[in-house]
Amino acid sequence: MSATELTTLEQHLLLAIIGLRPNAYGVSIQDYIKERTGREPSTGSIYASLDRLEEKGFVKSRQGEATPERGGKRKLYFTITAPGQRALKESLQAIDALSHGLRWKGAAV
Amino acid sequence: MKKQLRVFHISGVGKMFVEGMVEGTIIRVTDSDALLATNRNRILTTNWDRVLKEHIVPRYVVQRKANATDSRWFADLLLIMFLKPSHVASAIGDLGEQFDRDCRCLGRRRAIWLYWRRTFDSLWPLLRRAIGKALRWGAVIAAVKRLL
Repeated sequence: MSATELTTLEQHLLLAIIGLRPNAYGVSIQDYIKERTGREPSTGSIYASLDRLEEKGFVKSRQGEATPERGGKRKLYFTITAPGQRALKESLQAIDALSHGLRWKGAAV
Repeated sequence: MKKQLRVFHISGVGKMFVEGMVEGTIIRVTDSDALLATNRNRILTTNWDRVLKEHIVPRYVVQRKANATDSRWFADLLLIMFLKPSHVASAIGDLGEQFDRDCRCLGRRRAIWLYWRRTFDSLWPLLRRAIGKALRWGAVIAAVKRLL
């Protein structure tokens, strides 16, 4: 996979970060994806993917506030960068181009 | 009269179980929140939002800190082993926040179970990534050795 290609989870994460801007952190991202896709990615997979996206320069992180229910641990907020937006757009356009004009077998979708 | 409430279980909003409650007892938690005990285990109030926000949740957090010696330190240790150092605190905080939310919605026992399930679900992707990195480095070292 090339450096600019995105996995499905990475696409979901980037879309969630854009949707939640500027309050995208672990729990809110997880809830956002679960609400919209019905699948709950694990905390580990979210952080592993965000780590990968950060290495590629597609997201940036900043420390947030600590709350008592988090046991005094700080939140880590994520924002998408310009290369991240470009990669996401290209990735979604590729899916769109591949699925364009498909005739689905059986009932109309 | 002010009285300390010791909450040991919360079952949904509008209900809570308090140790040592007697039917008909009125407890003044603050000057403005009066809690009326309708039976031994259930108490009602007109101001649940405020009571939950200002009294029960902080008390629960205190109780959780008091129980910090429970086995969740082991779950934290597992995450520390595999997560990037800059992500460790926030990931543990995220699990703690979800645990706290589950405690309030589902009860402590189920929350602990969910906490462990989330931790183990988290380990596999992290482990896979660590193995992937190790294999990549292994391949690079093997290639260099072949060249030399």
